Amino acid sequence: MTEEFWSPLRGKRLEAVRDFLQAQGLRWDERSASTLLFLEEDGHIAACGSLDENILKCIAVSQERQGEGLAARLVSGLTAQAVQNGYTHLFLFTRPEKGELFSDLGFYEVAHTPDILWMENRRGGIRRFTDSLRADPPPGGVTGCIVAHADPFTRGHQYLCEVASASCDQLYLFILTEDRGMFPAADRLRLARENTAHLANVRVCGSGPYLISYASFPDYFLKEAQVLPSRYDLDLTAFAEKIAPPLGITRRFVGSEPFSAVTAGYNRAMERLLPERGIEVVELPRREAGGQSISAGRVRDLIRRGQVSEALPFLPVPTRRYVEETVCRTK
Amino acid sequence: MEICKSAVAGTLESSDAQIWVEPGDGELELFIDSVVEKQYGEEIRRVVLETAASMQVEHGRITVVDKGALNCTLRARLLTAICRAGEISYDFGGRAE
Repeated sequence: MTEEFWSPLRGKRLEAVRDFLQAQGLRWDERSASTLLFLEEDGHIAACGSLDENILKCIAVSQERQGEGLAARLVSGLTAQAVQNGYTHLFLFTRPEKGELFSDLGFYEVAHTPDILWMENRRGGIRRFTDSLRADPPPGGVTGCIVAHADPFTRGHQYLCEVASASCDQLYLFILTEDRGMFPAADRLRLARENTAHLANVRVCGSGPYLISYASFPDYFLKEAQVLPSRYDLDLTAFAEKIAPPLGITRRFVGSEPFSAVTAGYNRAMERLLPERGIEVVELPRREAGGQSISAGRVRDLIRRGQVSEALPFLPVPTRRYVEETVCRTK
Repeated sequence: MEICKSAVAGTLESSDAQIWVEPGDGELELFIDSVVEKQYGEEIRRVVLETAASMQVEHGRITVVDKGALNCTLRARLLTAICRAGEISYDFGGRAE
């Protein structure tokens, strides 16, 4: 058997892998940055697996080569490559019935739906995440949460936080940790803290790799028009079953979404999945400024077009100061 | 020795072990996931802790995904992971530099 490593996979081999996966009931994922192949002497594919940043995907072994330890070689090879690329916290998605195979290879469940099992290479990783956030001693009363990209933090976010803060004893404000927006995560987190400093019961924290992350909900970052309803389920199931219970969260606040279809779909999915798991969803209408709905997306558009002054009415003072400074600096 | 970054050594193939060494806060944490945990869990723990101690590793997180590796393999994989994580070189024929 020969080994090939492609970054990215293309040409005839790509076609062969596509067919190979299809025969196994799997679909090739375009976001595979690199692919490891094991080939038979006659050139047929014996096994393949791909890597997309910190996510292992498209792992398959031919019928004839099952049980020979090829999955272990694939996972070892892909892991080594991921570590070389700087990723050590790794994830994979598989069908629930394949869970045992990967748990033998050092992967542990994060969460699952009836169709997908989400695994990570750290035992109890998601539990450590919630442990690191838990207040000690646990506060009584109602605990709520908001998950926001806050790219950047607008007066709309601030309004949502103020309303939520007033109706809860404690409020977690999760700011997305992924660095895929206009402003870096560290700055977004700091601005969220500054903009909610007047609200004593708000705990601002990063969302980590588990809440609306590239792993849990890639569509949020890919800006595709169409998202299958089932794509929302894994992220929300992980939230409802693994994150909310240890933190005592029973309410999730969200702003209504008139602009982005993906976010609007996510809000609908929340209403479908969370209440039956004991979490109330509170959707607040968007705040307006000067007759226009406040939206971070609109703020980014204005900044991109160089109309920074028109964006300022949507921003609270700390964000305003930050945007003026950073945008002027880059000019 | 300080663990300054995450590193991994070894594979998941039979008779080998994949060992992760990562920075951690506080004392040394050890996680063992082995196909022979029931029979050799304590032995693996001993070998890993001894090897870590011999390299003066006192903080961090060590995760062993063991596929039935012999003690010498465990030691070699762990030494390699520690050296990568501590960004030092090691002369396997002699002593640490």
